[in-house]
Amino acid sequence: MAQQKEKMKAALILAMLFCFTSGIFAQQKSYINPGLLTASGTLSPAVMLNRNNMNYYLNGFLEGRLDKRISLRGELHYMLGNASEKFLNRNIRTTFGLQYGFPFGNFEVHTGFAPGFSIMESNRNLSAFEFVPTIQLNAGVRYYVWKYFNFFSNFSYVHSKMNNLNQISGMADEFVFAVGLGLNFQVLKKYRD
Amino acid sequence: MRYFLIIFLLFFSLLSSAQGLKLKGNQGGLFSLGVRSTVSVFDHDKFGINGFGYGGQFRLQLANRLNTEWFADYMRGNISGLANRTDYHVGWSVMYYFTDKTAPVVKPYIVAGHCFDKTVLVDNSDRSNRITKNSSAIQAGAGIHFNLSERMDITFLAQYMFHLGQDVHAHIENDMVMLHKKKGTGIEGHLLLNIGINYKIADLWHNKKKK
Repeated sequence: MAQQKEKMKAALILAMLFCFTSGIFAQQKSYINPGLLTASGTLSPAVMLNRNNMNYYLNGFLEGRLDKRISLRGELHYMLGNASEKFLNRNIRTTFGLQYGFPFGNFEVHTGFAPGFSIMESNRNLSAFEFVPTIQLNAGVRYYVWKYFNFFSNFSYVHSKMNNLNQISGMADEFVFAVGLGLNFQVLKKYRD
Repeated sequence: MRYFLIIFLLFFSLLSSAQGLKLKGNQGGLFSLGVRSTVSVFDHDKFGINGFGYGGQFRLQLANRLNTEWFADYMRGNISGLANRTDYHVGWSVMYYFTDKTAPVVKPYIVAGHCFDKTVLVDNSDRSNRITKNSSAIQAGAGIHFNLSERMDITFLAQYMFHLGQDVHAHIENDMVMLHKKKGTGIEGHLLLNIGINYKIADLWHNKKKK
């Protein structure tokens, strides 16, 4: 009997949540349209996958929507510091690529990839400054809460490898996590209020 | 900051043409721009991923089934942790499509072309120990466009590139890096895999408004 009551309660809560969220989606104006510019700056922790190391980045991106589902995204990562093994001394990374989204009202799941390059310097050899080609694969979610704001969360896998370290593996793949507040602006008049 | 400004301006220029592709006549004159990543899967006779690169390309289509691609790549590779290799490629390819359709979901093609390249091998323990060669190359292969929209595609391309000219290579002898340049003309090659994105910006030949 008690179990049934618990189940009923859970079902009721789920139904209320569904009504509430679908109500939000139904009432809100759709912000995900061609011409939407989205940008943000945030702090991102990154786990290095080939070594016991954590890097911290100042991360900024600018994304422009060409289509309801397709956008172009440029991203910049500037390493602020790191912990544990401290393989990297400096790292600045920039990528430019494509995002493909699956919008549900003003909520969106998106994935994409972006070729790019890093300028890296390792603590193993400070004279071995290197221009390193990279590729970034990412997936994320975001929710456009207003015509100027969105909340986002994004996971990225970044492949990069230093090649000029003597007898030391230069693998520097990272898993980067970003979460925060994004700014958005619709540049096409026909999709504004 | 400058980087973001460039993207911002690029986005505005793309937005002006983002409303679908209206073709007048055939597909000749379609101009597209893109970026790509390149992996060198094996080098001459050694298997394994030994180069990774970043590059860009533009395409100018000549006819419904014929496109041209003009590219530049920068690639970095490692030689047993003791030396590193840098390859610069600048070249062009002709692409032949098996269909007349402008943007089907899947659009396969075959490709062949020419390339000019520069290779630099550097000893990691002694940067002054380096060797450089300039050569030309021919490449051929096959690829597929996955059209996400009329204007945007993701492209996978596999091509074998034969470098014509002096062969440069590194080998390890008594823990020392030996860099060699063979005299005479030889052929060495590598299989290159590309993944790229492209955006069709304009129809250059049919875009002029009639007065």
